[in-house]
Amino acid sequence: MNNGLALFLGVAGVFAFSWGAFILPAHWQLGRLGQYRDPVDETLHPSAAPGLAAQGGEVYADLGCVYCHTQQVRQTTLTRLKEGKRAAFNPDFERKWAGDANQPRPSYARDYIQDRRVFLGQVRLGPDLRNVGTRFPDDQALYKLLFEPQAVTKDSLMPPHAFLFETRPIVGERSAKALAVPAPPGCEVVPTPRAEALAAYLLNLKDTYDYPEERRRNMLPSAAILEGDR
Amino acid sequence: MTETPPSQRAEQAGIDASTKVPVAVLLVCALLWLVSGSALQILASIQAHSPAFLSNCEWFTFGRVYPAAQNALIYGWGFNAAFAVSLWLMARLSCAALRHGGWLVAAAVFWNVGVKLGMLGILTGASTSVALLEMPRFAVLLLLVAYSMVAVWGVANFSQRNTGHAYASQWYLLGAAFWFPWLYILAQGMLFVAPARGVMQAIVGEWYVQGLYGLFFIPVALSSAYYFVPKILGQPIRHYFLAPAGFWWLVTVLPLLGGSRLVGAPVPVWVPTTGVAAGFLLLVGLLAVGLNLFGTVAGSFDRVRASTTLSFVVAGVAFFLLWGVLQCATALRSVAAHLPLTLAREGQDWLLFYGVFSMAMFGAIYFLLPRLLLRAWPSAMLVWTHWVAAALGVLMVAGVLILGGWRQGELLNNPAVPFTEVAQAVSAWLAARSVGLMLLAIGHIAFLLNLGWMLCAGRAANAGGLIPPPAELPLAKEPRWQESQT
Ligand code: HEC
Repeated sequence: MNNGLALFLGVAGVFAFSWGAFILPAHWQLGRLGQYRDPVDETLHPSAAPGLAAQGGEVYADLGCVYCHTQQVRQTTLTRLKEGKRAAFNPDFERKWAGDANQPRPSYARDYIQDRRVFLGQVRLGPDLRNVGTRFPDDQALYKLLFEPQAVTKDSLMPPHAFLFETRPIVGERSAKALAVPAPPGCEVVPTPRAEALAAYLLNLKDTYDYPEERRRNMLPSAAILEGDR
Repeated sequence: MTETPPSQRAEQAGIDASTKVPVAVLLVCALLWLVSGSALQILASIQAHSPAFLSNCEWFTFGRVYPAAQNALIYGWGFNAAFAVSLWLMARLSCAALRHGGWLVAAAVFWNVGVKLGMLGILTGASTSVALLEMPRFAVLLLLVAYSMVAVWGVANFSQRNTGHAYASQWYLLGAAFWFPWLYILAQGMLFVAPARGVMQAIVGEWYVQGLYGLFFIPVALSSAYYFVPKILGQPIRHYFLAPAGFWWLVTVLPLLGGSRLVGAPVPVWVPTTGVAAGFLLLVGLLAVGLNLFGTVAGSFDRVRASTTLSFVVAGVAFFLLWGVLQCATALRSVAAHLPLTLAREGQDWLLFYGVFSMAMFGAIYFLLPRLLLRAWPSAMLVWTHWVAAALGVLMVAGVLILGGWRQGELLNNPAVPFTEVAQAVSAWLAARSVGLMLLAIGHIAFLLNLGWMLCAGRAANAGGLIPPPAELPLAKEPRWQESQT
């Protein structure tokens, strides 16, 4: 351990190992994932986000929504007693975070290949947003939430993002985009372009297409865990 | 105890003096970041349970203040302190004066301007929202230039060493000097220059975060521990033959833990599995380091308590062992079901960055500044306040986040509890975190006051003897590591 060169080579070796053991195989494995062509209607999945939604992703990054919200529906890993029998369940499914309510599924790596930025997130201070597009009917409901979450849910812990909106005097007709929120007389509250992009991004978040291959592969581990838990 | 011969002591004083200007500049910057970073932490923490607080101002929305606070602590306080302590320690251990140290002041200026620009970028909306890599690109370039200057000086000093051997602290410092830039460049490249596709981005991100802790902050912290424990106790490291094995084992295993941050995520299953397995392998490395450091300390705890430096450094080593044990506990199946995507992760990271790294740095700074400036710390009371606030504060912050995270996970996993109720339950724990952060801030203010007082008081006041110069000032016997090695 006294030879500087040997020490340096060891140091480089440690780094190369951490890279080679972790990043390289993952890159090799995930790099092969491509879009999936539906055998029936020949559509490609997942599809790229439309332009406005892609811009909204930048707004999502710049406002740091990721520090409170995740974007990943987790795999089935829990069991509970139901009618005297142990049954697997996925809390994310029951919270309606998993896309199609009739056919809920966890997130797959393939779901993300078209995302310019991936926001898996680290902590769920707010609900998971991977399928938020299935829960909101239109941008108006999102605007209302972003403008003042406390008006939607009492004591909500989501911070208001009123700065994404503009209060301006009504000139001529009321804007079609104006929010249904209290505004000073003669004024209206309208979303800025950033708010519109963000809403488009959120509405576009929905993984409703199910990949047959992934579904089969992902069902296996949960069954294995069931066995182990008995 | 034999005294170091006066000639050798004079030489050491010369080496210390050669590091004086850059190290003092870096440390003052580090302390200012520490105080401003903890103010930002408190602000973000309050916003997390009182969302209306400063929410009208876009610059200070939670999603920007939180990453800004993290960056101020890691890149502002963490790196400045690590630079200062590493340069000083390397020069001492290599018995070589730091030549042309003035250039390092330029590096310090670059680094701190880089961090400030990066923070400004985050607050004004250029954040990338990738954990610990939020700073926009223009800041990254400055940071890399500044870092390479510091690292070149450190490595050059090592290669000009006037000793035949390289001590454990030097292995850790040399490793850290190279690992950080490699990690940083690869992560920046794979995330922003030629972005990897899909969840590969998340894997690279977690690899970077874990690498930053495991291959930079932990090694720097351990290098201080390996220096100060034998130095101040005047005893060589026990079982020193284990030190090389401990070193290689730890630095190989620590970065692999990144996988454990992705449990349940839509990534290949082997990624989290490797991370969890690494958690168990970690125990072997912890055992080696524990036998070395606690083996040396054993039986001398009263002397640890009597030394300011050692009470910080040894607390840091204890937090390291605690963190390692928690890391294994979280791999157990019943725990692993609840903890992912909760506050617990942040709690563990606090234990690592603050409990281990920052405590070790505090200890080192209490030792080295008086020797560089030839002044004593004016107030023992403020030192004591700092220690108590730091130790209790980090236990509280990490404890609250880990226990709160456990509760949060339990509630999230029970779909019968509506989400609003989960959020309300979590907010009580977040309020407790704010209290813990305030406790930490009290310690930081005490530290800053003591430093300011020391700088203003000048030598005259010390002659009056507010407190006697630290007992270690006549240097304790050099630890005889060669002896224990053979
Ligand atoms: C401080 C944490 C925090 C931040 C930052 C935050 N949110 Fe939220 N968010 C929440 C919480 C908590 C809820 C749950 C609201 C409730 O019912 O109390 C929520 C709810 C939501 C919902 C409704 C989800 C649903 O299924 O009902 C959407 C959409 C949303 N947030 C989007 C965003 C966006 C976009 C951003 C970034 C601009 C953001 N949030 C930033 C905490 C946060």
